[in-house]
Amino acid sequence: MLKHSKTGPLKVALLAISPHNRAILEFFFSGAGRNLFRVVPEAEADAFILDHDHPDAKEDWQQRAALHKPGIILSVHPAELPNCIWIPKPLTSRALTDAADRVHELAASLESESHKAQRPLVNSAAEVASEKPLVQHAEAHFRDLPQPFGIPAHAERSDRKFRSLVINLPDEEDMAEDVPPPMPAPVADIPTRVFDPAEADIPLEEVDRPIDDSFSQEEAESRWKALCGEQDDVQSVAEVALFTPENYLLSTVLEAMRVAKESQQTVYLKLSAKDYALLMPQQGLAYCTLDTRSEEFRILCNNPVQTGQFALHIPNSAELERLEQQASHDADALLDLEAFVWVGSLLTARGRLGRGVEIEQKISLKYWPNLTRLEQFPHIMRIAALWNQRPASALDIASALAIPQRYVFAFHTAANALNLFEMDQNKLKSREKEKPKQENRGFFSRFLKRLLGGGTK
Amino acid sequence: MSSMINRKIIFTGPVGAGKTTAIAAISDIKPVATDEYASDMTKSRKPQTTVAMDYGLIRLSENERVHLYGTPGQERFDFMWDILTKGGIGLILLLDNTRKDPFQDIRFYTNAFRDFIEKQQMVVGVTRMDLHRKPGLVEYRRYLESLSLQAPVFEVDARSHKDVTMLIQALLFSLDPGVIN
Repeated sequence: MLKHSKTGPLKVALLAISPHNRAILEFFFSGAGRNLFRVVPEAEADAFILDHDHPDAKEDWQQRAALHKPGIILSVHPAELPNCIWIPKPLTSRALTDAADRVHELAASLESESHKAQRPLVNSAAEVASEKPLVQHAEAHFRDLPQPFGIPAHAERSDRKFRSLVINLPDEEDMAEDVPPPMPAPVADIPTRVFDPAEADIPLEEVDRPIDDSFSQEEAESRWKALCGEQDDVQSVAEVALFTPENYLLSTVLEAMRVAKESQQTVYLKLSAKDYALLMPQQGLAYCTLDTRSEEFRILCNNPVQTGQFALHIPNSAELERLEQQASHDADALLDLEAFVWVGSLLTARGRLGRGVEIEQKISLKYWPNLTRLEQFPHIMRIAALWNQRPASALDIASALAIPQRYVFAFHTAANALNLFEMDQNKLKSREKEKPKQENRGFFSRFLKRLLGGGTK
Repeated sequence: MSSMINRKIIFTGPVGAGKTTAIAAISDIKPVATDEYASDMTKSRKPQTTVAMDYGLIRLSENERVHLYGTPGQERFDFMWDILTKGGIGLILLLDNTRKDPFQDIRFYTNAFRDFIEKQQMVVGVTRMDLHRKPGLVEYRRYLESLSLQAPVFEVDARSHKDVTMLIQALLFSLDPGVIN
């Protein structure tokens, strides 16, 4: 709960405010801010709160300007009104807390001045100056916020017209004749508690969730062997199985990826006399006439390359139009660009490391792969999480997680092909995170089993 | 009899990013809109207002539950989120790739939940990438890095049980890679 205000809760009346905003303010007033604000009928209020973005706001404020009571204006855009404090939307508890203290001061000042002046008060230069830091702070805050729906970023500030209306108020006597006395606002319903379904006895409708059995365990294991090989663990660095990327399709795929990214143009990769792939960096997609799960594609990736077997080029506009038309008619063959490189790397490496990799060098996973769109294999999440958390060699990761090395090597090769590792030894230290707490391990484990177990509860 | 263990996962993000749908994709119960229930329960009493949240539930056992909360998307009040995140395991930030400036959404939500993210963990799911490919995940990763945030970023279909489950897996493993599944 927030601190007690020095002078007790500020008695406020809520003017033009949408039901939703009203509900949220009341939520704050009844909880963390209950010692700062108290919602009262308008006649008892020391200050008003109004939503400047509400259609009735201008009229509401105009009617009350002669009362010499301070206001808190809530609005998306900065608003400067006499005797008002602006709080930018979205609201924060800090802004509301600060506003409570400032309004207390402003109310005291207005009360003493109201005895001296017959006309509605306009902030003095000193007061305006004293508010500047708040406005600047709020403006800085505002710059950081997303625009609300329906309000373009370049929208004109709506407070300008509003301001001129207030400054040009008629004399109090005239107001008394022309403007009907303000109607007391209805007493707001202050919730007595926060409604939390977790603590409430409400009917919950159970959902039946079928178990996803699109792949059998045998099919899955067979695929994992194709992607990660079957090598046993090794005891020393010298025994680690290596492959030479230049001897495989993978090197051409990586070259095609590089060209595509640098040129930001679609690259045509010839795979055989009849099959090809398109790498489309603008869309972040690849199109492959071969199914990447097919035996044919696996063999293409596995077998050493023959001279002239693969080729790549940037198609001219006529060719590109024809190719893109074909791809659009075969949307099932479209896949994430990273997914294409990922699967090509895995099928080539089969759980081996690329020759030239410094096996004992500590590296860190800079960015997680897009695992929802990439082919999976055992322990992939744990490998990503640990490597993201601390710099380590591939052998360290396998050892720390007590998992077969081939899965870590497979991850290394594929993630490396996507440039997801931080290799710069100077930057590694700053990436190291605190050692994770293990206090929830049992609970997390049961949660994961429950999630991955499909419909079983 | 052992006491009940309750944990929370918070789903946040702008309106339309798929928070309610994502909760529905993994919840054991049909998601509850809290404002509706609060109104129903207080019909016969003094009218009571509440902030609209979505609520789902995963039961692990008789004594263990994971509560899934979706924050209101359009109105952003961090004081409410402070209350909401108490006892939370982590944050799932869902972003709508068709929004005009999803990076501004990232900045807003990561600012609002900064303390919680630093204490726990955040995972980002980008929805509607099938409708709008730009920005790509590479841009999201770099943007998060520019904010000094490390978080998994996945393309997701909020309707997909598999995709939402992956977000939660990434959350749990990020908190403790040593968890055995």
